[in-house]
Amino acid sequence: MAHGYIAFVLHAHLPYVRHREANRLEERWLFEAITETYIPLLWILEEKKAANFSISFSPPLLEMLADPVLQRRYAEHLDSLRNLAKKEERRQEPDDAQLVRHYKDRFDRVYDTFLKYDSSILKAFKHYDKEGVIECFTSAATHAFLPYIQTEQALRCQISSGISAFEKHFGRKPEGFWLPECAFTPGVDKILAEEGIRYTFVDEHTIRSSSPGPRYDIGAPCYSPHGVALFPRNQEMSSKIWSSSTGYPGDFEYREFYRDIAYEREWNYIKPHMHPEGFRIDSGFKHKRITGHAEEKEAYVPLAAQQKAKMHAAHFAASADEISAENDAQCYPPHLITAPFDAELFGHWWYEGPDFLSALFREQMTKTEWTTPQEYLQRHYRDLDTVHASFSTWGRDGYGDVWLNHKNAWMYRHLHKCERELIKCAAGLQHAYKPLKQRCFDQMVREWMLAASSDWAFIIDGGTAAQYAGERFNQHVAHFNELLIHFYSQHLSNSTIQHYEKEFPFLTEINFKEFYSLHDEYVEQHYSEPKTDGKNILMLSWEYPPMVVGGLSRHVYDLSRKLAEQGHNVYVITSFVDGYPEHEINEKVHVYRVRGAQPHFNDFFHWTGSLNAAIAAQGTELGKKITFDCIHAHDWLVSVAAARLKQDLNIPLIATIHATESGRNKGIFSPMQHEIHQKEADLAFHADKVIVCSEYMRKEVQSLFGLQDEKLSVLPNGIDPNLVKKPEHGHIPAASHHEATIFSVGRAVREKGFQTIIDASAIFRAKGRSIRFVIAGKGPMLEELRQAAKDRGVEEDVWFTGFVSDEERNQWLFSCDAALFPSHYEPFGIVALEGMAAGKLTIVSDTGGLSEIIDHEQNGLKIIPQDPASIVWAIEYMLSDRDRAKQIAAAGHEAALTVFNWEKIADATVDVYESCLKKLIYTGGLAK
Amino acid sequence: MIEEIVKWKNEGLTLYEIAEKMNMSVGKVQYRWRQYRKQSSVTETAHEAEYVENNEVTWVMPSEYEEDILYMMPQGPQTMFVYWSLSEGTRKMAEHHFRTAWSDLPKVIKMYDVTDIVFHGHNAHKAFEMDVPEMTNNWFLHNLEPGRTYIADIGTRTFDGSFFTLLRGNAAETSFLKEDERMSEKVRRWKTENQSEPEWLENYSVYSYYQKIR
Repeated sequence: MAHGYIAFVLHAHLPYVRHREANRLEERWLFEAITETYIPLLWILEEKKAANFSISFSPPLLEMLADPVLQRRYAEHLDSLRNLAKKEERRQEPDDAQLVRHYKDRFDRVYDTFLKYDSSILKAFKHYDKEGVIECFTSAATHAFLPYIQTEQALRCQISSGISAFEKHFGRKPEGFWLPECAFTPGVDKILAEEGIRYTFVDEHTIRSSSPGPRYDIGAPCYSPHGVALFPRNQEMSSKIWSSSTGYPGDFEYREFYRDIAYEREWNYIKPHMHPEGFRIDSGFKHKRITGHAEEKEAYVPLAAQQKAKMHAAHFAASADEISAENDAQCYPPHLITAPFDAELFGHWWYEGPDFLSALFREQMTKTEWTTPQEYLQRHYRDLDTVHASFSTWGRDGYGDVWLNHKNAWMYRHLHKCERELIKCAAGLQHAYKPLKQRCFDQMVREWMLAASSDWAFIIDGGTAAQYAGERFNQHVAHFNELLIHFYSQHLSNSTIQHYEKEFPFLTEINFKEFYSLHDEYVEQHYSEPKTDGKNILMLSWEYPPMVVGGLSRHVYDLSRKLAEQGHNVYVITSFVDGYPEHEINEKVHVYRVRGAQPHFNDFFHWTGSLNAAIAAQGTELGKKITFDCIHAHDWLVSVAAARLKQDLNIPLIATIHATESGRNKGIFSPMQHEIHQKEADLAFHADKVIVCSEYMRKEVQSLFGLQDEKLSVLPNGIDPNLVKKPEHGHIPAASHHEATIFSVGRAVREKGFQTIIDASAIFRAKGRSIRFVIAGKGPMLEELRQAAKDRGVEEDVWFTGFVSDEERNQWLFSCDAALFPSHYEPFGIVALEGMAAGKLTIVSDTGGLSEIIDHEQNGLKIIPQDPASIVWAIEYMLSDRDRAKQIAAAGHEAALTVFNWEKIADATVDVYESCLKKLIYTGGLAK
Repeated sequence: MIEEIVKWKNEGLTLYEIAEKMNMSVGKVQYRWRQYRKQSSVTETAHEAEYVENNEVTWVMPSEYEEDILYMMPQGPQTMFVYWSLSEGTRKMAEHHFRTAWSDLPKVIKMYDVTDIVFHGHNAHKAFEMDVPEMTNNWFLHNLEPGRTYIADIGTRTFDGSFFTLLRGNAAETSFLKEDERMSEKVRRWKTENQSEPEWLENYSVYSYYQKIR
């Protein structure tokens, strides 16, 4: 004959209510539960031979039951109860006799049991667990609501500390684990599995809404994805007890919870058994039965109530049989009813609950066998489905409403902060063994755990005792944060920590290892403060190779490499490039490529805003580990991040302004130009020193932003001669019929002056001379320029190559006759240096930085900006005297290699850094 | 009771000594003392907890911390709770970028449905924005879809009305109300294929102090 099974599970839990001082009201929660639930449960075990139910003890309860101070206080409490029972005997009235006797016998029996087990009822449960009469397991360390824990480390701590606590009291590891509030969420099962847990409990809708749908509905447990068996609560069965309207405990014969003789006896009579501060509290002597809905209650008759409990047990058993019968076709695995309950329901809330249980476990069912989750799993572990279950609980509405609502949602911010602070402390503790700090840390873990107990949110939701719950939560969070201050202070002392340890001696033996992170350990080891004498420089630039939009990228690349080569530690933060690593060390330079939260913002200005947030975040993060000496920011695009980092890291900011929006556009005309202009002004304002590349730029920046003279430094750009090398391979189209090839390179934008070349070419054509102009580079004006060349009929003489690689550029440079840069606006003009470095005659506009690089007719030629005739003059000058042109080119070559040498420029840059550092030391503003 | 604590305090006793004298828990005394100090507007912030005499520290719970955080927790199949705080640095950065006072910037939550997506900021299935009142640091978001993964941003708006992210939070999932084909497939692949981690969201990640240092 096919059989179904039933697993009856009790979960015993109370929040940790041990206080250093005696007579706290909340301590009585424990005493009442011992008297009314835990000891009566032992009586059931004493009668039993075989295991047919399981019980989980939460770690706070374990710790309290094993606490000698609480045991002593409980013994006193029992004394008081028994004294009151004797007094009641003396004062009894005839119709009370039976009840008075009942309480006296009962409290005597409780007392005998308590003595029998040496004040430690936990020892008794341990004994029966060992004998196989009952199956015990445990829960999270402080019964935290696990889905609302933020970090994996904290989750693991709650789980593994719970397991350790169980081991400490039961001498073995548990196989089961009670999820506080049956609160499951994906990921909890992973840690449970890793900690060796085989089964846990969820509510029935958890399994019913899982995927794939369970074959047997809630008639069998299912494995979670990580292999923990989830036993679903059978609500039909549990409502027989739980239901507030139809549940057994509401039967009129049962004892009325809310009528206690404490409120009926004269004060002088009852006073010795009441709270020492002089108010009435429940005595545990209750003389009425529920009777009905009316206020008037009748006398409680224990025998009648016990009879009723037996009837209810029989009914429960019959209901289980009915369900088993309905499902008797189910096999592999056979049908299982899982019936989990709060233990304290039996006895404390439902006085006759233990009588009910005692009767229930004697019931002989025809279709149903008693089992335990462990036993069921042993037999049927091969037959269970695996499902994905989502976040759910056994609370009101089935999800988080009880523990996360307008009354208690504020708590989680503080708990999560504690978790993260613990992880931060642990990162610092990983290396050196500091016993005092470790102890401080362990106590912080305890305070966090005690604050994280789901009871506080639950009580605050319920409203009764909400003040106590709020105070306890506040107290533990405050303790945590006070300890945190001690943790980082020089004054940390033994006695300080002891104060906190003594206040709540919870899980005192455990050292908490769960908060370490492998990653932090790695960083601690590999990111030790750089040991060199060099400076630690935080370099900010929106572009960095391989991203090259303008000359900025190249400049920052050359400067950072050179600084690193000289022994400085350079950390560049720049924007991401798809396919390139987020972090790399390239020629000793640390490069971090970051992505904004909106990396494809369609507006460039806001794109930079998003990028700046990411740059600042990365910089702050690096600042946790590296003591930077200064920040070096390049151009307005990083202005926002630079200002923030200067503030956050409290170090000098050096800004290089490579070009200005006003200079590029010959004024500020559009709102967007205005915004950019403002960012430039901000950068100049926040910077301790501003570097510009030429005297020309110094004047421009000074007049635009009104900077003081001493705030500005002029440092030219440098050139790396290795990058201007004659290529070994490749060729360029030969100049078929042209007299000479003139090469220009730059972005196709108006200020580069390429249209003047077209005009000059037209003049040559008119003169009947054939000069080939090659313009390399792309940009928004490229098409317009091509069209202009066509319109002027010079498309055969003016060639546009579009984008060129460095190698192609070099091919052109080395094979041309002269390099021409007719810009209208050029803050510096690195391209001119490249022409000179290639040993070519270099012709530049007499403007901006260009005019400072070239000494006319000495190391190059200058032309008048926007004047095509001037270009014609320069080229004819070269053609008329090739030898002279060669001499000038040679002088240019020499200047490029000596004056514009990165070695010298990097040195000068460090001098600028130094001047800022000194200034800060004078004003006492430097943190280190 | 507080009068007595204040009296002892003025006589130079530590909170511990006062607790002993009054036969109260230190926690209780501390709590009262903090309440008192809060009311008597003694300026004290979370970060300037001071050393009082004898190595004693008092700390008052702030309503939020000086940090950038945005965290979202599911309350049920259709409701999420988010809380956040923005550090002074981040608020200033927004002021700097927009050249607008913080109080004049709109505060907006943007919720993205990122189910089965590696989210990079622009590729959500759908998203909605919601203005939140000034001085708010938490919100319940209702009427969401069950069984979906969401990410929330806190941000502001540009002058032309585009949402601008200031801070992005964690991914969180609303509970499923019934069996889901997609999920069943993922479970099947998880069981039968050699995957190192499952394809669904697991709620916990190892938090590192050095999040962005590699």
